[in-house]
Amino acid sequence: MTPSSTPDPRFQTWLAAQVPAVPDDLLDRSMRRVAETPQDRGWTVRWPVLRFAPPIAAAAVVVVAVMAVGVLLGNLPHQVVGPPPSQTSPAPSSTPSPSLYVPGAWQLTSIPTPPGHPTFVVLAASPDASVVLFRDADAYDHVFVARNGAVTELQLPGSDPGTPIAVLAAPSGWSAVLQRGARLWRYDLARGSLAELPPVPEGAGVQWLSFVSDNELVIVEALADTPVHPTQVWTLDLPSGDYAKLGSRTNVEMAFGTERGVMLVVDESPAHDNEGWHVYLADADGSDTLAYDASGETELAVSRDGRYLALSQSVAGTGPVTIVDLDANRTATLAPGGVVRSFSPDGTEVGVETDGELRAYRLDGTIAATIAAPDAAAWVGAPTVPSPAPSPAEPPVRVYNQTSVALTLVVNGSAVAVVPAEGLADPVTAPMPGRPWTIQLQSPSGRPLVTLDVPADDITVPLYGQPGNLACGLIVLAVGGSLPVSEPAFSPALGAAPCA
Amino acid sequence: VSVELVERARDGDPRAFEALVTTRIARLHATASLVLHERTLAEDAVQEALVRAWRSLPRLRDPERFDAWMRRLLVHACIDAARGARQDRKVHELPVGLAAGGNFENTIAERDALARAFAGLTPSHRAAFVLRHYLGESVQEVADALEIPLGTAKSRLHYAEQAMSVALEADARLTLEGGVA
Repeated sequence: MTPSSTPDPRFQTWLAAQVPAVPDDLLDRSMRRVAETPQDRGWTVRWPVLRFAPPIAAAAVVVVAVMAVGVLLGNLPHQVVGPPPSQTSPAPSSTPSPSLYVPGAWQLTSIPTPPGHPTFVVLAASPDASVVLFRDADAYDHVFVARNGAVTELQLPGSDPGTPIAVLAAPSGWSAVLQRGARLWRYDLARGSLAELPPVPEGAGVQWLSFVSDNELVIVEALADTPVHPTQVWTLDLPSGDYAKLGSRTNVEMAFGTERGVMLVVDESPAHDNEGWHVYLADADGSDTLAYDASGETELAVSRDGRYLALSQSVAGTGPVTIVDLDANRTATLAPGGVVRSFSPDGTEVGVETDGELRAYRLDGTIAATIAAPDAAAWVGAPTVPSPAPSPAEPPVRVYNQTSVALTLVVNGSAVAVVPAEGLADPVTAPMPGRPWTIQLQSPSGRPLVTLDVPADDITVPLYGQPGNLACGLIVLAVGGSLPVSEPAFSPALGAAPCA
Repeated sequence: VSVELVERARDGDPRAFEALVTTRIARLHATASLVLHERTLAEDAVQEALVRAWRSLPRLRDPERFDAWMRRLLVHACIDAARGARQDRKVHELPVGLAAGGNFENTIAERDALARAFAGLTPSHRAAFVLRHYLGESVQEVADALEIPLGTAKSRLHYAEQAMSVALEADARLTLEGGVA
């Protein structure tokens, strides 16, 4: 598809003839509104949405808030996941540190100012914000990594200047997928390593990317760029690089991974202009079940369990925000206005951007929290993210990782924390769900290495995870007790499979 | 671009901002009107883009890029407006060939067919088409303004141009057959 090499004078003539006269009072009306608008002079970081297609605005993955310096920073909980702070905390910056809302923790933390980038757009961040992927606000074809205060450009193989790079953060925050044209890469934030992923089978345009889990993507591939276009939906197993075809449909615009399966958002409006959507659950047998007719709404978010939809009436935030309980077939007003950004990790709250604030609404419509968001702030949907806030009564979880690979702590199927190679989490400070727990320590490829079931009852004696057949070093998982200090609880098995 | 005006506006001087806007509002309004094809929405989009611009100006590092940045804000305001207003849209047909300075070389039949073809495009396709053929931007600039990959911009333009060319050719045949002058 090649457009004309120069503007066509026939079109130009016609277009010029269509232009109406400027209303006399338009300038005055505009300036009156401007006069009522303060300029944004806070130190802000703009959080992006993928803008490769309008609906994508609803669903990138990092959940963030942008705020002026110092707001709420004093009493924020600070999740520490990954290497000890002494190794990972960014070097102090002479410029102020803005704050970011971390998806896994549903909480605020601070991030350093990337040197030389006074205005930047954060693309992904590790849960402890020690590693931040960002781009300059005016350059879409470069991605930078801020690590321990140092900034380097992330070099993607091959040269394709001018082509935007899209970045999608994984639910755990410890990896991200980058897309440039038809090529995909996976970036490991902890290690700083980049690996190219196999291209989408048909080789057409990638319209939508979303994480089902840290190790699985759902990809919508558009086979034409016309208002009515066939689309194919794929899942990609990241460790193996294997694609599986989920199905074909016309005008699939978005896809969300949920515990019920992949939910497809399909543009079935008469003009196919993203103004009337149906939400389908993609069944394993290749058929689709209509879950909701979203005609009339624009932005939407899907809860992790697939039970709830939250919908905005417009991208401008006018009109009420509604919450749909698919199981009860019930719709209720959640908020008087605003733009839906995402559900909280446990599905009990919905992030709504309204009136210059980011508000966390409970499902009954009450407000759980409000965060200042002075400008183009966005909570960007996090359909699959770690677990909800911890209960103070929960027993401590401790991990000793003597291996050479980073381990992901997965609780009840959700990644909660990453324990770095030769690292210690004593205890794990990441939020945990309510018990019972099924805890796994997984290798970078997603292989369970240690598993431990923790009941909901009181724990009177410490519980230790039983490791699998490990050859890579000692791993200890303890709940309710201390880590062994003298003698390893378990010895690595000889001749066993590698951890990775 | 008057760098000095942009810098003053960036520093919070509303008069400088008004001076910048005064010389640009006709073009902004024309662009919004063409993209949205609906008068009220177009005016709203212009206002919204100007408010966003004023609010975000302190973050514009390079004053030389003010116009490109402003166009991007406008296009996004247009697309937001198009999507947000579908519920209670009141359609005001734009006048055909009534604008001051308009060119009347096109025949009535051509204009009708072109108007139909143009109205059939989605707002994002119209935006690409208007940026390219009304504002004379390069394909790369279209991609930048819409924040879409270059390939997507090319295909959107191709699609829009194809639709408009078909309309032009159809009317050219009509003109020959019917002798419409």
